[in-house]
Amino acid sequence: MKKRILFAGLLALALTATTACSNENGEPVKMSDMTVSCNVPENVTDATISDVTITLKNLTTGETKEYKFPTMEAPLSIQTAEGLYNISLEGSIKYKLNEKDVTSVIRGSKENVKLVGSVSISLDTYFHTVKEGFVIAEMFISGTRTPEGKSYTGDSYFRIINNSDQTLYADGLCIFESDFQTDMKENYTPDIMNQAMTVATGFMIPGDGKQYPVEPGQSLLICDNAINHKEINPNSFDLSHADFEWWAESSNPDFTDPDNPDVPNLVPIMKESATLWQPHTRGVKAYALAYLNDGEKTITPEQFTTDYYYDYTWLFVFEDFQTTMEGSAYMLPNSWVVDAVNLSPATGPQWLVTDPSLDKGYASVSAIDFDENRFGKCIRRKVDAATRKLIDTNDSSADFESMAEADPNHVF
Amino acid sequence: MKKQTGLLLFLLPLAAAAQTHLDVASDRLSLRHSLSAAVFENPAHQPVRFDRSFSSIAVGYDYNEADSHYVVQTGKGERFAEFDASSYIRMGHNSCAWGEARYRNGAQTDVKWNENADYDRLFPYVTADTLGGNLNYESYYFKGGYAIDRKRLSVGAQMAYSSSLHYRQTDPRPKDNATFINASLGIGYRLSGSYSLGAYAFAERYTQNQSIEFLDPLGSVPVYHMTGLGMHYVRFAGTKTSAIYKGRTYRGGLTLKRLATTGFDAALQIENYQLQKQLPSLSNAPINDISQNRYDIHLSWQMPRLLLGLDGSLSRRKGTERIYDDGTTNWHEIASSSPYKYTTAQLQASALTTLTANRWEFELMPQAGFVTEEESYHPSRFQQLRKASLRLTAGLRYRTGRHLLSAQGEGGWLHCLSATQRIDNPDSFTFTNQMLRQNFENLSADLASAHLYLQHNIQLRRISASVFWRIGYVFASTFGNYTLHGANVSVGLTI
Repeated sequence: MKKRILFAGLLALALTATTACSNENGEPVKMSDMTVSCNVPENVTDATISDVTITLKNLTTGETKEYKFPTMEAPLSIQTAEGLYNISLEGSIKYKLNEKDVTSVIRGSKENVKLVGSVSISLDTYFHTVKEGFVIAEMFISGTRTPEGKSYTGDSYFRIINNSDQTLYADGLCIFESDFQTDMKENYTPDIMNQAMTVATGFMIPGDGKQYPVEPGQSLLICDNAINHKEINPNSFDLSHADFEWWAESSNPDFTDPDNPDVPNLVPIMKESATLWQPHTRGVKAYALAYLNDGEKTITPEQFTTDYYYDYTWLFVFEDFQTTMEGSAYMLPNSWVVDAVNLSPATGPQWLVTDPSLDKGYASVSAIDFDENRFGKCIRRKVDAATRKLIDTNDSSADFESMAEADPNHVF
Repeated sequence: MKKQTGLLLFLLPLAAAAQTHLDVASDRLSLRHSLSAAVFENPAHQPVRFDRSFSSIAVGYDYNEADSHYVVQTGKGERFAEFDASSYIRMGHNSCAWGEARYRNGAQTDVKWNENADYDRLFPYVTADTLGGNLNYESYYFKGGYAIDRKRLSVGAQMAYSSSLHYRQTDPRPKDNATFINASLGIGYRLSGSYSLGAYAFAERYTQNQSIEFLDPLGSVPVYHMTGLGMHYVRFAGTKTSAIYKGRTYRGGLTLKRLATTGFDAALQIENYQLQKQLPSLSNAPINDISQNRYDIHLSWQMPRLLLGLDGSLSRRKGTERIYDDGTTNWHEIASSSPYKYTTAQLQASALTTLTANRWEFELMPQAGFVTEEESYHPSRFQQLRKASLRLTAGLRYRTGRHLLSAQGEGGWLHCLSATQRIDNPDSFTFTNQMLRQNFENLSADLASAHLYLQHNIQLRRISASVFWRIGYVFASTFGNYTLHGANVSVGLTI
């Protein structure tokens, strides 16, 4: 029996096959050359801008990069990978106000900007101030679940806090809900966002101007139905002690709004629904506190619904089909707005439905759209540990805690 | 005396037939068929593959389970029941037909960061979530071919079809329908009495339709569209739970087939594979593309008692991401980038010696190899592994009367020569950091493996067929975080 076992230079052959297949780098990424300039706020003269930070957020990868520049005497040049971006700017501005040198912070932003090839971007800026006054402290709009797992509504509420150091009067303070949704971007015409917020529903705190004082740090609880909901749904809240409730006359006798006679009603300005109003439970709209005041006189709700009504159109496109759609709503001038917040699922909005000067971010009651975990969740404004005041930088992404457990009695 | 002679003469053909069928069965178990498989990618060479017809039907069950994941995306183990029927029929001296039908019903256990079937085809563009779970599946596979050898020219053709469904009945609930259909056509030209030179072409179309549902009233989790080395397409993360994959493969090759009992076999193959991932919720806009080129070479030299083999392959996969505008008026692509690369190269040398004596046949096959893998997501992530492998396989077959006993054992050692992983941006998506760490730890560890099987064929009386049973055991371990045990059993009929 012959035996012959031969190893035919196995390892030698193997080791010589060390291939130069090193290919750590991907293909060269196409870069876009962007130049950024900015327009100073209206009526500002002799301004110099310094300490500029440009933030680019790549919407495809979620990556955020900051670019810092000492001045903005000339358009700023940035090279970045081609793609779709949100661009924001923050800088320090020195200007003359009544011949006096004043320094402030300015901000500007643009969303969904295509950076392909060479692109020039001009940002309109606005003064950024940490406002003091009435702010939305907590908002609960997603509803609750009964112990049997059924959906329960009617227990929505807003908590509004006086964030200033003086007593303010809540008479005439309004709550508005946007007409547009942050999860449905359309090219609406006319585009009035840089001047006004498009709203569909609004309610106003009644009073003669001095009827409802609010001490510094004190809050108002404004809700849908001011009853003890726990008697119906143990997972809900006792809102019978609310300061105000919104009540609307329904056109359908089968869907009427309960009214607690012991809790004052808000004055209805207008509402999107012909029956009851309930804030959008998926958390995809924006909300604002505002006064109906054009700077010279107070506007009545009737005047507002007459004079500030407008029609708009947008192009609906689906594959090869397209048609012009029509809608109507109301213009709420940005200068009337005291506080605003965009809501969106945490995965991110398609767009913000307020001008960045009102709110450049968003808060969330849900992790994803149609999130079954959103019930019982609210957004709650954060507290500055040093000043014990609520944080309000007009950026809801930073100012609010998202998906907090709702509690109308929360102590800030 | 006459009666005994007559009886002997009557039994001799039966005895001869019994020996012949078990001879064929024994031959089919030989290791040399696995070494020469590459040349038979050209269907035109099938008429010279086997001398005799042989068919097999079997049912079996296979189970393997590890104590942890080796690669997280492929699960901890697998179990399946299988029905398999295969046949090779000689139709005269010059032509043959072959076919296979297979049904498999099973499950991959604890698959994570991958809710798709056919991970090897789709990576890195799988859909994933943070939960995962077992993936049940059913699959069908059919193959058939025919080849004819005429004087100097031979021609062969083969088609195959497969359909599978992968699913889970707890949240998250993926449902992956995957199908492929392929065809190959080959020709061979007899250069001399010793060699046939051939060429072949292969084409395949592949699709996978995926949907993921959440029915738990307590809620759902976001779904991520992975893009390589733990990165994902941030913009479309969340609720885009459906995806469509469309792919195609083109392959061509040259073959040199020896026609004598000794000589060389050679095969050179080039393949191009393309796959596209589309999202139905974006009007079927494609978000990812895979483009892969693969080169394979096989050389073998058959001597009287020794078969030497050398196999090499080089594969380069590139992944592309498409970038879209805000989607207000349909989805328009504004840019694209190709940050993902995966390159693998392998070389393996084998030597098979066969010893026969009376009723025994013994085979011994040592193998040594080298493999390198590089994976990158430019510019922030990179991974490289270089390994050497040693394997020794021994097979023993014993014939007695109507019985054929076969045993085979294989032991292997995969030694990691070098391993590098660089993750520059771990904070960009923290959920996948542990998965990346675990995969790298296992892939960079040395791996020992062993595989044993026993088979017993019993020749049937009166007909040229046998029944058989087979049991096997498999073991693999890094002697650290990963150890796998498995067993398989099957029974069947050969004819």
